[in-house]
Amino acid sequence: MIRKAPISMIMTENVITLQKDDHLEKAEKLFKKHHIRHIPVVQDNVIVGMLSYSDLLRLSFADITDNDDNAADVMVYNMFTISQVMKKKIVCVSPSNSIKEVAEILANKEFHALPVVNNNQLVGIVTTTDLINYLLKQF
Amino acid sequence: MRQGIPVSAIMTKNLIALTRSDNLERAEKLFNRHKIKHMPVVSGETIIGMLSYTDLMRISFAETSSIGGDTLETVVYNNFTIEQVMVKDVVTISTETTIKEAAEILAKSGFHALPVVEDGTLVGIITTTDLLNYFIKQI
Repeated sequence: MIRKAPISMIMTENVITLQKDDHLEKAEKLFKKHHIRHIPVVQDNVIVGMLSYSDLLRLSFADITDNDDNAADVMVYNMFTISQVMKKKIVCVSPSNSIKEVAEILANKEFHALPVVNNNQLVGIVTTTDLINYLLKQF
Repeated sequence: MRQGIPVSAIMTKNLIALTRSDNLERAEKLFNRHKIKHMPVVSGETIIGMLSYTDLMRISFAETSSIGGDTLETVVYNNFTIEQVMVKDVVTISTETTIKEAAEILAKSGFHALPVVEDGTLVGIITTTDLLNYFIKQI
């Protein structure tokens, strides 16, 4: 295995993002449409937070029945802003960080996605699934 | 990378588990205390379900801690039982499943933990974090 392979090799470049003043309903649509769990929140392509699907779930209870009655969700989404719900303390990595360094960060922290930032601009995102897929190629 | 190493070599054996009679408040406490995201629910030594922190968030609701505040408190809704909230059709693997096979299942399924079962008895759990730690050692 290449020891110092940079994370830029395996990160996702076309990142789905949200703007700080976007509505939470838009966030839910993006999570579902793209089957993703984490969306960086940006302002002028500078990352200001991370919103995870879990962050959205904790806003409203009892989606257990899986019915399509979304009226309650919409109401709850109107009560909160993305800024209130997103994580503001975020860890970022640079594209030149090695895959190993990024794996160490994800193994030690409680989250599963890291934004990749270069010169203050968001350039990618890397998730535990990306790392495991890379791991699988090494067998 | 070496082929054919079984998951039993890297799985977590000291399991934090829940029983049917535990309540969701206790589950939340254990998630936070041990900084984990998944707990098997057992009846004796048999696994009957998996409860994830995300499942718990699904039945919680948020409260702003101060008026106009920028932080949210999450309150777990305690009128549900663990059995109502847990995932019941759990994918399990055996101790002989290889690390590679486990990685393939985790990469495809989108969940982050797999219980390991031997002769009907729950003997361990393997998470994406265990895989990352294994990966780090190989680089």
